[in-house]
Amino acid sequence: MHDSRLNDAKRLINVLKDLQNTHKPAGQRNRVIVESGPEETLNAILDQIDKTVLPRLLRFEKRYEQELLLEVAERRVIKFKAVDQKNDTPLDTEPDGSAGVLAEALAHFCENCGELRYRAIRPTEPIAEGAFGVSVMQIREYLCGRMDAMRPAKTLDAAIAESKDFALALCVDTFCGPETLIGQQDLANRLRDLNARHPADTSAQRCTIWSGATGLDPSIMRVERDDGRVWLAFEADEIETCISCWAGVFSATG
Amino acid sequence: MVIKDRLDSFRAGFSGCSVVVFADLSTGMVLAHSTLEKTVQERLDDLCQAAMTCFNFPISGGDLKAASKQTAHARHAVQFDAEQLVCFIQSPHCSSEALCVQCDPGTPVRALVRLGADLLAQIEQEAS
Repeated sequence: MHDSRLNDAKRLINVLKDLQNTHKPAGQRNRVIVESGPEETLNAILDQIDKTVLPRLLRFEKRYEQELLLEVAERRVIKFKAVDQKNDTPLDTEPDGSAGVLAEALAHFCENCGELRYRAIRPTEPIAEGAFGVSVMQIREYLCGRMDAMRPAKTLDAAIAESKDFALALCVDTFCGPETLIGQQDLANRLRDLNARHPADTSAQRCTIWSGATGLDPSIMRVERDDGRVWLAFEADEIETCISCWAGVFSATG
Repeated sequence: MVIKDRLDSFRAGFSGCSVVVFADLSTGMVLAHSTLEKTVQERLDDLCQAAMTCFNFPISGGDLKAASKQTAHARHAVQFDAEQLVCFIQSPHCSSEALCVQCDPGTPVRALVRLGADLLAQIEQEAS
């Protein structure tokens, strides 16, 4: 079957499924869909968005204090409104195709969430023409990126311990006292000489690897951080292992 | 095939690759480039400068191998942090020409270096 026809067929199946979902009419009480937990709450909200094909206004309420209204069509959030009923500070934004604002509002709404109540309402006004909205996948991608950025950087000690599995030698300079040399003694001594000859650049927070020169086997790597400098010698074949180990010592937010 | 097409094809071969610059290290000039998104000229120039710095970093062969006392310069270099990785690949035949490749830290570097060196060799072959 042609791709576009296949998509049409899938869409029709989803529309029919959606029609089978009995959306509760306006006026009926909101039903509890989650009892507790921010992650469960977020997943429940995203799940409801993903189930909504026909235009609906999804209303989520937590602890009778905060309300989140999402205008959804074809599984995309077209418009949303978060209302803190205590402070009465509505945030009314139309997603512009970037998931950031909506994802942040969702994450904020899900914080400290206990019981979550939900209701789907048929919208009284048609969806604005040309509105594209934000998909669940975009929201998830944004939130995953945010979590990665918040993840603490690996410590130098942890990376050094991991490096002992593949590095031939290491020279660790923490800018206080003599360097620590690990591994093959002659290689480690030479790494120490390199460290002495090339002054530290504390403005740069990165790793540099040099490889492939005649007479330069193994490869060498210099790690520069404001709390220390590490030089490693390793076999060229281990370059990907080395990058994977040391990329984690820099936090994603810099 | 023109250089730009070759760079485009190379970049498309690595999913996390966003910028490929073909540079002349003797003058610090960007000769050609391929980018996933619009990239300002300053960024391309910065990559070229970083390549020059990396390849000019003198590492005495004697530092790591007692047998060799000659000063050596790397044939390829990699700079990375948590967010991105930049690989500099020097031409095997013409040391003033190099590729600067900006990509994700998870990019397979060995394949990148091997195919990058092949690409440089092809470009030189076509030019001669």
